[in-house]
Amino acid sequence: MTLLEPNLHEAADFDHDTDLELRFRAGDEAALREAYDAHGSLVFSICRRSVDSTAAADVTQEVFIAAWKNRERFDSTRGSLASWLSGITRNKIIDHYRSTGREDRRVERIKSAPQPAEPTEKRLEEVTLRMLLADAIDELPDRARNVISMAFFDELTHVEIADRTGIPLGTVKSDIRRSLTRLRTGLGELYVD
Amino acid sequence: MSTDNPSLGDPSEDELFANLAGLAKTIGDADRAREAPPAHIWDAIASGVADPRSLEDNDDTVIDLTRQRTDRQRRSAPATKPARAGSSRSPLLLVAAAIIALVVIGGAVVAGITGTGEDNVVFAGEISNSEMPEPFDGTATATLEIDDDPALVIDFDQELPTDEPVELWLISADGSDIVSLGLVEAGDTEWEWPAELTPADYPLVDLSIEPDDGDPTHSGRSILRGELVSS
Repeated sequence: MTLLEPNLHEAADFDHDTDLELRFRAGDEAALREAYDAHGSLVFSICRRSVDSTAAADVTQEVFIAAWKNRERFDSTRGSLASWLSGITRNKIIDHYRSTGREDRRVERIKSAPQPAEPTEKRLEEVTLRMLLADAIDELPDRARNVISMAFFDELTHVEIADRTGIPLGTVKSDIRRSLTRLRTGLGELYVD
Repeated sequence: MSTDNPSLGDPSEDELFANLAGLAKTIGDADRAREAPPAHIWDAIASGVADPRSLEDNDDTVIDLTRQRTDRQRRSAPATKPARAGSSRSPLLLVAAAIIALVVIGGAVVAGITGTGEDNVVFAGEISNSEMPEPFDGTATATLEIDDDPALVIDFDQELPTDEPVELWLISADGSDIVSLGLVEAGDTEWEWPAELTPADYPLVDLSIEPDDGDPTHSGRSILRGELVSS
């Protein structure tokens, strides 16, 4: 039955992610490597949006070591592992700015020319959120990704999505509701209402 | 979202939808691009975690998710389903097992055809809490009305639980497949019957508690189930 197969795959994907997060927090060293394989590119890519490749490599290394050292601070019910690592990445990049004196120069510039603060940290936050959301949408099950994309990008109503896809209206609503939950988890603490 | 789009019913969900839709529309190609870190980074990480001197206690760049808990986050936490995480249990298998158990017990589910006398009612049955894993005092009558738009109509004798979402499912006779008809809102009594399904192949009607944790599969926490029988 074609309708069944995606559900089983979706369940398997969900369990895998949660299993990795649980093993990471429990200190399974194999989970550290899996987390790096799964999220290393995201962390490094966030860095590359803000710093050069050498600094990006250093920060990526620091992020995973710090995350492992402080893994008891991770709580999968509060956000995904990707969002937690991204939050550490953001903070490490800000530290990097400060340690290299860029922050001081920025402050001096602000002092000399009164204006809204240069949105370095705000821009970093927005970039990180967009990258996390892009990944979270990509990781939705196929049907849910299609439904939420039609709602987000095409601005179709639930009824229009049901008509266009042949999916029952109630299922469309369920898919959207569940997708919102998944996406919200994917953004973790970085999402602020 | 178009202005005529019905609300999801929860203001916080509507706000979340609006916020995420707005953010999603700003995603550009650069946000989707991913660059793999240099190969030597993993070696440096592996060496770093093996060397206690390289690790800093109380690193303030690491967000402590075990604190700062908010009300909204408490509501979204899947605290009711920890056993599913990393488990080899399939919710569908739980459902199938429950069905088999019911068949073995025999006759507990199907109370018979309600027979409304209306010509357009071709399948009907009572759905009850008998042998269900979750307690619930109510019962209901389900009828499949074949008209221009086939609809499953359920008449509940009391309100469904409201503390957690309830979802309506159709299950195949052998328990090998399950299809969601969506979450049940207060006052809902009628659902579109999926055109690609037949009541003979999907005779089991199931309502389950579904924690709002983003998992689209059946939770295994059914409160009502029964069989549609040809009239």
